[in-house]
Amino acid sequence: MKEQEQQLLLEIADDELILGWRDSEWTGVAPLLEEDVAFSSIAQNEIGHARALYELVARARGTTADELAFDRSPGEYRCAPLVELRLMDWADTIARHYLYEEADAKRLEQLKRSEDPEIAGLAAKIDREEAYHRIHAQMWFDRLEDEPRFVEALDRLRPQAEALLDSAQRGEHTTELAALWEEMTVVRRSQPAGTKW
Amino acid sequence: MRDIDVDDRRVRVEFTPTFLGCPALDVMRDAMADSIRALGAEPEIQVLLDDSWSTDRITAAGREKLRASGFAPPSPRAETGAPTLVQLQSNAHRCPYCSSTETRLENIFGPTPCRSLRYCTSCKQPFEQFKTI
Repeated sequence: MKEQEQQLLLEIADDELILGWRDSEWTGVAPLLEEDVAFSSIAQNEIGHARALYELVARARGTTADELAFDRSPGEYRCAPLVELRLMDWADTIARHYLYEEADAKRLEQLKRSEDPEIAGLAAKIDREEAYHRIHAQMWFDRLEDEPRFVEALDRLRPQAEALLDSAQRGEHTTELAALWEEMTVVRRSQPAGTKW
Repeated sequence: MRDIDVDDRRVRVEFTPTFLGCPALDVMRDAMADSIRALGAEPEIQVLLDDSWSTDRITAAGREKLRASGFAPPSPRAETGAPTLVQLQSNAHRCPYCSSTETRLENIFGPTPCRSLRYCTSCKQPFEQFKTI
């Protein structure tokens, strides 16, 4: 796998891992029990996608998915600012969900046409699973589209969603990523590198 | 199971998950490895990360086992592409307990990536519906 392809897969894997974290923050505190379940399941899927993407890159580099997911410093992650934001307001989180799925669909369509059959195959599998996320996002969009707070959130977050599709706009992180990374890796870092868990 | 290759004392297994985030992947992989070691061979288990599996491949026997365990088997993949909310909300979904089609969608999502939550208004029981994938 070419280095450029590895970088692109890491961007998407990092997006999915960090967004999976943010989505999982709704477990237990969503406005509806069914949304506790929905966002937890969405998060599980996203982390599963991250795992699979890390696995492909890991095989190319002779490392492991866990090392790629957890053993880089915060500055080395390639995730976009949009996914780093802790958005514990329902209008904000649904706006981000809708905009992210919209952008992700576009990049998956491109990846499905990759000349590398491993990349094309995984992209097709991820895309098929994301169909359920899109149904959920569209359902909430339809429910909230006349709510001023939701419209304002879409307008505010849309530029960051557009930046998702431009690799050149990655590399800068929000101040939120460092705290997220601390908590995400504190247990892993409690043992020496190379520990078998 | 996609492929099993036996070469002297090495057994190589390839299998496909329903969903990539399946929380049972490691458990299944470890269980397979343990079984192979118990038979005196060295296991090599790989999870396939492609789009080669579909719920359409589940046999009639497999579907009946799901139903008997209280899970509604998955609907066939639509010829027109990705599933839609209208399809998920339709009353084409049969209750695995009483066979009524008077069921409703409670949640697109459920306790695992592969299942949705439905409710039968006829026998008044909730049940899990396998997602079409």
